[in-house]
Amino acid sequence: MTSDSTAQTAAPALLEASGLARSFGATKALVDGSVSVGPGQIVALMGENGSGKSTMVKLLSGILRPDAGEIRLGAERVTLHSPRAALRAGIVTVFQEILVAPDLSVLENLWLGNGSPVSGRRARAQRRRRAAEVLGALCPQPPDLDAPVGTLDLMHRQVCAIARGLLRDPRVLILDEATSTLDVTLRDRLFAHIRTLCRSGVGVLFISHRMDEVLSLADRCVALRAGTTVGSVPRSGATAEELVRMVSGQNAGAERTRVRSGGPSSGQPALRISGLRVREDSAPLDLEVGRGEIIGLAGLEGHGQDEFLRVLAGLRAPAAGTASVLSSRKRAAATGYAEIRGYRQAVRQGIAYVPRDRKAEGIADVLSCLDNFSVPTLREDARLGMLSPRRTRGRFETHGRGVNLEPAPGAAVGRLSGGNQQKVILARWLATRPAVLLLNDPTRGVDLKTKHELYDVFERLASEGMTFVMLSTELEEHLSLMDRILVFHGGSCTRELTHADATREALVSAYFGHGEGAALGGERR
Amino acid sequence: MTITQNAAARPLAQAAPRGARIAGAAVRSPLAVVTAMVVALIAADLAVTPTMFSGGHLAGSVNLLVPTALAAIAGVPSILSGGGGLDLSVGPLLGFVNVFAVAVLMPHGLGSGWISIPLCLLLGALGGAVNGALVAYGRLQPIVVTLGTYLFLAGIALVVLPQPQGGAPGWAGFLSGAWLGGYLPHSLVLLLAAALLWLALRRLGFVRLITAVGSDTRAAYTAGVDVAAVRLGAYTIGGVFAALAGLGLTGLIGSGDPTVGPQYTLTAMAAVALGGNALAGGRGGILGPVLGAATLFLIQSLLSALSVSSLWIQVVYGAVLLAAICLNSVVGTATRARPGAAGGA
Repeated sequence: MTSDSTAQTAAPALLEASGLARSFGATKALVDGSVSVGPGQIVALMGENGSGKSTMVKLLSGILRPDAGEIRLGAERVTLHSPRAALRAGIVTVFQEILVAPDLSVLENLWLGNGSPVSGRRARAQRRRRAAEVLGALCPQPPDLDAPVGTLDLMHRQVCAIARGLLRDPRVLILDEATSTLDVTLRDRLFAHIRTLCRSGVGVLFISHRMDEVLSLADRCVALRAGTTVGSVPRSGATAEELVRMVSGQNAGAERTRVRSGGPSSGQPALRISGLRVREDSAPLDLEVGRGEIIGLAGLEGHGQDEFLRVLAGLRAPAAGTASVLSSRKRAAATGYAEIRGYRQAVRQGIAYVPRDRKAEGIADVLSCLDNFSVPTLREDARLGMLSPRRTRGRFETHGRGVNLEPAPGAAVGRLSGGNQQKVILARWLATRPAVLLLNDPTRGVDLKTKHELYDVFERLASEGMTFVMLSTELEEHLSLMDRILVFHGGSCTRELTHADATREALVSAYFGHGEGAALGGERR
Repeated sequence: MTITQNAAARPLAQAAPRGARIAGAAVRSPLAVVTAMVVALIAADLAVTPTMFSGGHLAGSVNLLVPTALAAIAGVPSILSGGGGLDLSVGPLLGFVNVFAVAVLMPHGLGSGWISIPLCLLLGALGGAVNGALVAYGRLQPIVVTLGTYLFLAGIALVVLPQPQGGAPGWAGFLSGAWLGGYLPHSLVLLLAAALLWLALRRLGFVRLITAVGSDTRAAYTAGVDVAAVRLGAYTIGGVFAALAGLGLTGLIGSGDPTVGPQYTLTAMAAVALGGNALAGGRGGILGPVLGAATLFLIQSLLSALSVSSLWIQVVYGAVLLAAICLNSVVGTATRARPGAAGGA
């Protein structure tokens, strides 16, 4: 069990789960899960992919019933038959998946399933006002209450899901990776809001893969490993390294050291960008990216980095200028560059794009790993027009090994953890042997160990000459992995940092459009 | 700070003038295409048959239209509730209500409107509830379940009443009449009742729950909506609408006929699609399907007025229907494009 001794001395816990277990067929997703959240406490639940975090959250929110163990609310033992029951008991969960009804308006989504459906004029006005308050507290530019949620971008949809949770007046708020699409501003506002809630006695269970979030927010950290709670320590009593060790069970440093020393190899650049303007009002960008270079795209959400990446992928036409790729596919003799004009053409020229929203753009949930893997490269397995399953399987094993993919080829992708799904998609695109790999926030929702595995893969491939352009929302990633970082602000690339120049402070100040990080007293890491 | 002036964020609250917004919404409305079609077809029908809206003519047309329109409304809630929701048994159910009223209630002396109409509505609700329970709690495929009840109800109607039989209740006679010299057919009362029921359900928030469940079932479930109960309710309400359609049919034919009902299913589904409701659920209302039913009716009356050969009428009818649905889809995709749908791009 846990080494939780403060629980007895302090006020009784709001929510206390002990010995929770749950299996899916032969798979034991959770063996002995325990967590306790006291009034006004923020507890971080940590664990790698497949450690049972999601299962735990589903048990606590009434989506799944435990095979064993008990959940107590205050002094009372409760059985949560459904999400409805959990919500009635005051346990409000904001899920990792962005669960909104796209056809309903923002206002309707915020009050979905909450309160009496029959309401008078005054109650309706009150709902409007409270919805506007909560959205206003979270967003600098709140979305229109009457707009259909389907017209919002991913970030604002997630804001709607969070706001719905906050409007429930939770006793215990569970945030399961609920910050993954938020930009820094919104995340900070959310955290401030959560701290206010805690002062009024609300307990928070917080699940995040981002160590910086955990460190800045949590009062207590609970670690799950292989379905078992292995530790519960006050935040003040542990360093980041200790937490990582607790989660992974091995001595993996939180600080990752780069494997490569060098930047790009000499010779012709892999990408040539001239006078490129992503939007009408952006400043033109000229850039050459060498072979084997890893370029990071940074900035607050919605400042043009996403558009830039999509221009490179051929998914979006730039407002002006051109992006060209060193033409590697068409005849070795052709040494020229091919301008990127469309997605399929870009793929032919050796550009592979791994999108951000795995569920919507990346994978086919019900198909197996193997099928998901082989979609773009199936032609290679054909002999006289007939597919050879053995050949596909062989390629899958080769490329799967390249990214440390563990699951069986036949496993349905929808059942895998986020990290493993990402590996399947990576393997898929690596199988096309791209010259340039475009990654849109590839480690979003991926646990630390897998992240480090992915970084190692990226670095190895880069040293073999593959060029990377990678949008990332994580500072650590930029600092530890990238050769160069392009920081976007207001639709333009406003700052370019080399690996040597990149410090946390320089990067953050560039996020907010300040030209010089030094002005804020940045210190080299 | 400068962050609050986040120029990059999409302007979320539009500041267009009210008039322009309303005009834009009218064009963007899923009802735009079907409304335009109805107007055009009425014009065409009037050109061919100038007497179309004369008293006697109008009442007959409306009486013919009402059961179709109500059948279309009956198809709405199940489709709106998503998850492949669909009620194929709408036609046989309304047919069985007709048979029930004439061949079961009348011989037992229950012909009075105060008794037989509520019993008919109850029968409809029961039929819908059986579908709903099998779909929502039995977790069976709606298309298979309602095909089963389709066959069951069509069969039982024939068992109860093997031959068409006259002797409709008194209220059926009333429904075939009209006020104001034929300009205000009594059968519109049924349509009005359906509209009031729908408005009441909207006011009660139930329509919004159906829409939420159809739009994203998991979002509704995790938000604490009792998804199964909502689906059960949706099918039950559909059954009540089907019963209203059955009353309309009884008024129209003034007798009991076990073979007419099932034909309404396909027309109803076509009308819902024409009306701009998403067949995947989550989007739509009842006005579109009513206009869709009107479109189908007007096409048919235009074709017969033009004395198109009865052999060809089906072919032309089908082709026009396909064209209309294509047009609806094209306009719909063009105007309902979702800027944020592609992952914040």
